[in-house]
Amino acid sequence: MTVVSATDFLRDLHHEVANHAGIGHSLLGRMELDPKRRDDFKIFSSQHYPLVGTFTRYLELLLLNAPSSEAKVWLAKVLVDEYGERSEGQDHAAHYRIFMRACGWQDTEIDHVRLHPAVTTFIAEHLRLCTEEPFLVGLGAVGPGHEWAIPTMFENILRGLRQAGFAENEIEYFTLHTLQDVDHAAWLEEALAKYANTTEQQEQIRRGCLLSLAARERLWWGIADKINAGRMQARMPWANSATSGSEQIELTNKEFRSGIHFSVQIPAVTRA
Amino acid sequence: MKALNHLALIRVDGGHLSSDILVRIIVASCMTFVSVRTMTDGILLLGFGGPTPGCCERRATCPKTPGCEAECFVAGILGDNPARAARIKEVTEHYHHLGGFSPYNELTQRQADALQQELTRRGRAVTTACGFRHWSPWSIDGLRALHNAGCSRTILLIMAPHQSSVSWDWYLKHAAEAAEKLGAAAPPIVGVVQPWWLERGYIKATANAVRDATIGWSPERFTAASLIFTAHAIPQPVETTSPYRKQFAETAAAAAKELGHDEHSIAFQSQPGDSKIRWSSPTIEQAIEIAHQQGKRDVIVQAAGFLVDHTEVLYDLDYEAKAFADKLGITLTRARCVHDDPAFIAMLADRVEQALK
Repeated sequence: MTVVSATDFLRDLHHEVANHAGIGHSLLGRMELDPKRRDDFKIFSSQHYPLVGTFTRYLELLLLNAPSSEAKVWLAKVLVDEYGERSEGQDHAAHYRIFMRACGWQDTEIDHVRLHPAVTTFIAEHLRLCTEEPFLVGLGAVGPGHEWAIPTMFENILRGLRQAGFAENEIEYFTLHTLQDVDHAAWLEEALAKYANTTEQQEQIRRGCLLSLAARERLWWGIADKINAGRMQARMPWANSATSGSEQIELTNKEFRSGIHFSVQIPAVTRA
Repeated sequence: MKALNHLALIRVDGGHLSSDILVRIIVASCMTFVSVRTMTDGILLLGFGGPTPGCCERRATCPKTPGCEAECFVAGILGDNPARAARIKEVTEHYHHLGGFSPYNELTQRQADALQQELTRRGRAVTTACGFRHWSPWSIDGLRALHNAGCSRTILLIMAPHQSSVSWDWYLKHAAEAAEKLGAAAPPIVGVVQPWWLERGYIKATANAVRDATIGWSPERFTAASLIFTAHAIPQPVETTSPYRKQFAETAAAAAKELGHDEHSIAFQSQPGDSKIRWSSPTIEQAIEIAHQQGKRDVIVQAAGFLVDHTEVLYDLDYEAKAFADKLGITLTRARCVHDDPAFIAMLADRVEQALK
């Protein structure tokens, strides 16, 4: 079997990412046809925030798993940026909270927001990919699955945010992140080009990328679910929502965060 | 109230009133009173909508070519996004296969007319109007029509039997946003017709549709056939938070019982082929496959999750599912949707009356 060159593999993967339903979700693609308001984005931000706050954790975990110092350097470059190197010292979560305040959130409220299961499973899936799967699966998830996807998705979100009347300083997280992710994507692509030389390596990268994008597609549906229910109830508090009762399966931000634990497992000696 | 204020003003300003003026005022007051009493209640039927001839005038990238309505309609649902271009093209072709337009709006309007007739027959002064989410008349047009018809209040009726946030909540949100935009030019929304997935009239109408489709069948053939009810698939994250699947399963079980059919199954249709996540299952194709494995010769398919035979029923079942069944050597008989079956319309009228109380 002929191995596809790394360049060709990455080109095909770019195409696959660009045409994925997770990138082209109707919630993002309908920003102009179905304009969103500040209150819609208030719900949106409350569900999106936990992801923003956990992305660095994926990279930190993946760094532990990286097979060489060279790979660690690529990841570390991205991490330094995520910690706030090019954002006046503000990490992405801090930037995002500026946006959340503009949406109408008080800092004290954020911990008590109930998260759609698609939000919590998105994070759980990525923590798993970066710890339990081979390194290249994790790299596929945070690289092509995130850094290639975010600029396109955020472009749509930014269109909706501007239409909803947000000022540029309120949505800096999105503008800044879009620019940084273009750089991150380029850095990670260097790493991918180095590692995507065998069929097995390519399969692992692609698998991680597609698992991440599938989680992303579920996430957008979950956020759309929250927006439809929340905004309907805000306008018609006397009407029943189709989602009433679903809060029983939802964790708050705080409950979810405090439930994430990492453990070290040492294999038992099985030598005869 | 208007008449009483008028009377009060004349009393204050006019001092002593002649009997002639008094009579005229009383007559005018009564007329105003009569006109208040004859103001009707508005019923807004909320539905998905389908493309009809004419520009939707809301898609910035409209190609403005003859017959582009279907493309604009599909892009309006999926979002004008290059990532979905292939899917938009695929679904648009389904519409073109059936002439480029959808009978959805016309058939739903018939339901609205039948409902108005039924309520009028019962002595209720109501006006019905349709308001759609993805094509005109939009919800805002429907509310405006009710206002122009002199309606003093609006009851919302969601034309979908099973609840999820992408149908129930989104329809209500859409109508509420339209009312907000119209302000005083919309009759206030005062109620929502409660869900009716297990109401007798709907179940009876569903069973009637199956009976109509199998006229002339022997009891043996009917009993031996696989009876499959379908609903639109919804994505797993939405299914997780809603009673959609449970309600649909209950509808199907009740309709099968009404038909005296011992075995039935549920299946889901029309899931987007480009989605990479789990949608409601089994698919209609999987259900037909199971029927094939059971040695069935006939499958009867009734789209209980839809209320009219529109494109998703006409294409996805009559064309795609039928082609799949043909390949397996199975005869697929598709029963119509409930449409304006009198039992269904009477049930809706009952529910509207409850909401008006």
